[in-house]
Amino acid sequence: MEKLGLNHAKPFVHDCQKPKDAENVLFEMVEGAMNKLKAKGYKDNEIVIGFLDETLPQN
Amino acid sequence: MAYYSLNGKSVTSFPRDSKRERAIDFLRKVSKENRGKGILIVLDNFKSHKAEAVTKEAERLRMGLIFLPSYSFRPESDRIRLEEHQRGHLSNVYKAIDDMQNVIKEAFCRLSRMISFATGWGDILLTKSEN
Repeated sequence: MEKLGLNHAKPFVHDCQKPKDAENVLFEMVEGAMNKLKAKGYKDNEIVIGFLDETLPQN
Repeated sequence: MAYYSLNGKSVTSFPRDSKRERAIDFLRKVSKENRGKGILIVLDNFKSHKAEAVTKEAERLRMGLIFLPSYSFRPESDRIRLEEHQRGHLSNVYKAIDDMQNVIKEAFCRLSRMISFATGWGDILLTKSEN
C-alpha cells in the first residue's frame, strides 16, 4: 500500500458546514473562559483544563 | 463519561444514562477531584451538556464550560481519540459489568497519562493560559 501512496487512515466525509477557522474560534473561547476565571481570582497555575465526553457501547 | 485533564486530575464515571442530572453529578465529581482549582471543560454540544441546569451548576462550581464550535472537530480532525484506543481493551467477554468498567477505568487512567495524546492541545491551550 505504501508503494501506491496509500495509508491505513480511516476515511471520513468532509463536512461542508465545518467552519474554516474552527480552531481560532475555539481558542478565543478558551481565552475568554480563562479570563473569566482570572477575574474570579484564580492565578494561571490554579487553572486546569480538560475535555469531557461520554460514549455508549454500540454493536 | 470522562474528564481528561491536561494539567489537573482526570475523572471517570459510569452513569446509567445521559440525562442532565448525571451531567450535574459528574461536574460535582470533577470539582471535588480538582478542589481549589479553576476548572475549564471543553465539551461537545450534546443536549444534556447544554441544559440550563447544567450550565447553572457549572457557574455555581466556578467552572468554565467551553462548547466546541458547531460542525467542527469531527473525528477526522480530533487530535485526541482515547476512546478508540480504549476499544482495543474491550475485546474480551466479561461476566459482570463491574469487570468491564474496571478495565475501561484502568485503560483510561493509563492512557490519559500518556502525554502523546495531549501534546498538540497542550502546546496550544496551555500556552494560551500562560500568555
